[in-house]
Amino acid sequence: MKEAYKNDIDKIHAPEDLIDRTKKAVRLKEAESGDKKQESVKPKNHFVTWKKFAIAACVCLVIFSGSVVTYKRNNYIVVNPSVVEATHTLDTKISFGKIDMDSNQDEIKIQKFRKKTELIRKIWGTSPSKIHGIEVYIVRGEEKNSYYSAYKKGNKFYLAYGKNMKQKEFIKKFTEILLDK
Amino acid sequence: MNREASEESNYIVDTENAITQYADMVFRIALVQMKNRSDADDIFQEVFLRLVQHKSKIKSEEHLKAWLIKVTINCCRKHFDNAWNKKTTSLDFTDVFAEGKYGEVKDDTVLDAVLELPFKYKIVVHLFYYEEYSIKEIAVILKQSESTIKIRLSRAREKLRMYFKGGCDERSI
Repeated sequence: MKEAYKNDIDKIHAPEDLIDRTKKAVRLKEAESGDKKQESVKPKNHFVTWKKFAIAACVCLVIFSGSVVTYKRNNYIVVNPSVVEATHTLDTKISFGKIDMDSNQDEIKIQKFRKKTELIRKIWGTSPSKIHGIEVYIVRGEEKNSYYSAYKKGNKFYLAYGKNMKQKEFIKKFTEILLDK
Repeated sequence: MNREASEESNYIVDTENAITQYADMVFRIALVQMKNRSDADDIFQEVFLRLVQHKSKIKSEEHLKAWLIKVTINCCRKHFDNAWNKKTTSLDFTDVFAEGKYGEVKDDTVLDAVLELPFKYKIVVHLFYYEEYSIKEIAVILKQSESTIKIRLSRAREKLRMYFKGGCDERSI
């Protein structure tokens, strides 16, 4: 009976006129849709767009990070504990001028030396700071709200002293002096 | 040539060639399901026009065949569910055969019996016994579970047995 069913179905064929009409209709439809498909032959590859964006973002991040790192390398402050044992250790004999260490004025005094004095040597032994790329050494004074700073400019050594000021104020004023502002 | 490469593979669908190759298959399914020439013609054209739209999705020759069967069945279902079709009665299928347009049918008993089956059983019988697809393949084509297909096939056999008044065994319908 299965064979009988198969034989019956085998006798059914699509009429030729139907096949021809269908082929014509198909050709017409393909001609119509062909123009539309030309516009979208290549599907948009969103992955490629996002990839480019991601690469650009990474490059910007690297440049920015580099800038931040460079800035931080040239600008960092380390305020060391006091190395000034007593004000009498301050060596002013070889100085060009005097530092009025007893000054109560809220300003920074600068003294210039041909070579490292004992105090400068002590300050130089602490951890360095960098202000706009210039290596400086900053320590607290024995007195409260007093600070020392030592640095080299050209072939001269400088010692700065600030009193009656907070750390932030000292650094700000010292920076101005350092940069000749 | 009406060719278009599949988006996902290198298989190229030649629509006109597909019509030539699968015309009989599509027409047979449509005619068995709808039981009238007019609807079968409409469905035949609709199937291949849809192929034009969707041929980029076809991955292989086997996929093309399964796709055509699936779409033919869906089109038949759509036509069948049409309210107008439900109200009308189609020509007696055997009368159409008797006209000799599709060749002589000497013994139409089995075909008559299959045509009497409900819509969803007819297609299972046709795909299983004529197209010789497995239960698993039929399940994929019709998007049904294998157990559903087995049940439909079993019920179809039962109905056919009833039609022939208990004269058949399972191996030969």
